[in-house]
Amino acid sequence: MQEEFIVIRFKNGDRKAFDEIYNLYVNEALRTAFLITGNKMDSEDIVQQTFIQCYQTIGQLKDVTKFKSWFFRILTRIAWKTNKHKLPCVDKIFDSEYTSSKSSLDIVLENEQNQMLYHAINCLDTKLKAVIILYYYNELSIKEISDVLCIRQGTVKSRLFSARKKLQNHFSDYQSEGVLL
Amino acid sequence: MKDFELMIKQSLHDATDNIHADDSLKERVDFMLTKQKKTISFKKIAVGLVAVACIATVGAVARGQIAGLVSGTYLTKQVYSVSELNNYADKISDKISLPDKLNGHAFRSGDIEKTNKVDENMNKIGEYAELYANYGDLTLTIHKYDEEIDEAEYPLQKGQSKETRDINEVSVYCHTDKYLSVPADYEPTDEEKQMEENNEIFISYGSDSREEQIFTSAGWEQNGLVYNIFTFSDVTFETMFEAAEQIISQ
Repeated sequence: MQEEFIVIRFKNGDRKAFDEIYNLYVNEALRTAFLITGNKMDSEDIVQQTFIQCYQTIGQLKDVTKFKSWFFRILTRIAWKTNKHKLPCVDKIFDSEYTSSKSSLDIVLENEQNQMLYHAINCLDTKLKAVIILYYYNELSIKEISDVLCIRQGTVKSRLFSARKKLQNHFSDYQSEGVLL
Repeated sequence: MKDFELMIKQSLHDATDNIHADDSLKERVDFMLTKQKKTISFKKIAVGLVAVACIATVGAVARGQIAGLVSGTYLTKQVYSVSELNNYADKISDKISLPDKLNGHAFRSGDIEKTNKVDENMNKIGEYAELYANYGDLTLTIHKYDEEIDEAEYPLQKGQSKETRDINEVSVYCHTDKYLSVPADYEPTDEEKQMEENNEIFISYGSDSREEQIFTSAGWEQNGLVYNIFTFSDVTFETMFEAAEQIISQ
């Protein structure tokens, strides 16, 4: 509810409200862009463009309760456009800049599983990867994802099912063969 | 949520937990939003070539002819050091060498952007690359000489100041324009519309509030490049000529 009031102020031209929205969303936006592109510099450009477009077109948002979906719709489209001809650099995601400092054997194994799973997520096609990120990372509902991607809720469910199945197959192969596919 | 789904969630969070936006990203957003105010149409170009003629005929632009300039996309990332921007400046010309300071103002940031030429129906009919360098209150832009935009006639505002000065055999033209910066969805009053029609004011859309400002600009052509220094701050022509001299003398 508090966010809705901020969005209303933002729509009314309150620049401080825009700054508040920025602070609320910037890290999640940056991380989402990073998950889509796998590249930190591209992610920053995407986030910059997203906030600028958000600022310029806030007047087009009719329902302030749908700000989050609207925001991530802008971000996702910009990210897809940026990422069109690029492949994510998966290895760098778990390099020294981004990994935690955990060190026990269980945690090392867990890290390897996470790495495998993240690799598998990045191997998904764009449409399946997007629903996985929006559902599991951004924790959007099926309805919100359908608003973000402008697809039917049934299509969201179908893509989630397909994505999970592919990831499960990757994971099962990994467990049985012990290799990174 | 089932175990495997929790693993998916954990994997995504582990990949991104160490990623945080730093302050420079907000500065970039703020800078670009401020620069949106300065998206100006062809009829209001602040190019200072001495050869500019007087009043352009309003409404006489044929279809397909350039009628406006609109900021396009970025050709480079925003950079915060002069050396980086000087490297990127090769996209415009190898004759560009930017100073660390301009009239005492330190370099803050810059980039190379694509500006779209549009016709009266806002259809894109061309483009060109332009370097932007922000030195606090002063912004320096540089683009290659373009006959379509730099030989054009443009209307001189009524009641505004102008002065031409030769600096090291380069003619520098300074003038002021009165701007009304308004939000994107602002509807000008009848009086404001009339003032715009009379070339007494330019209305620029995209700011966060209604604001009247004086836009001061110094422009010149040198070695096939068109330079422009502009500001919305309260400065004298003398300040602008000093800044121009610094660039011309480099």
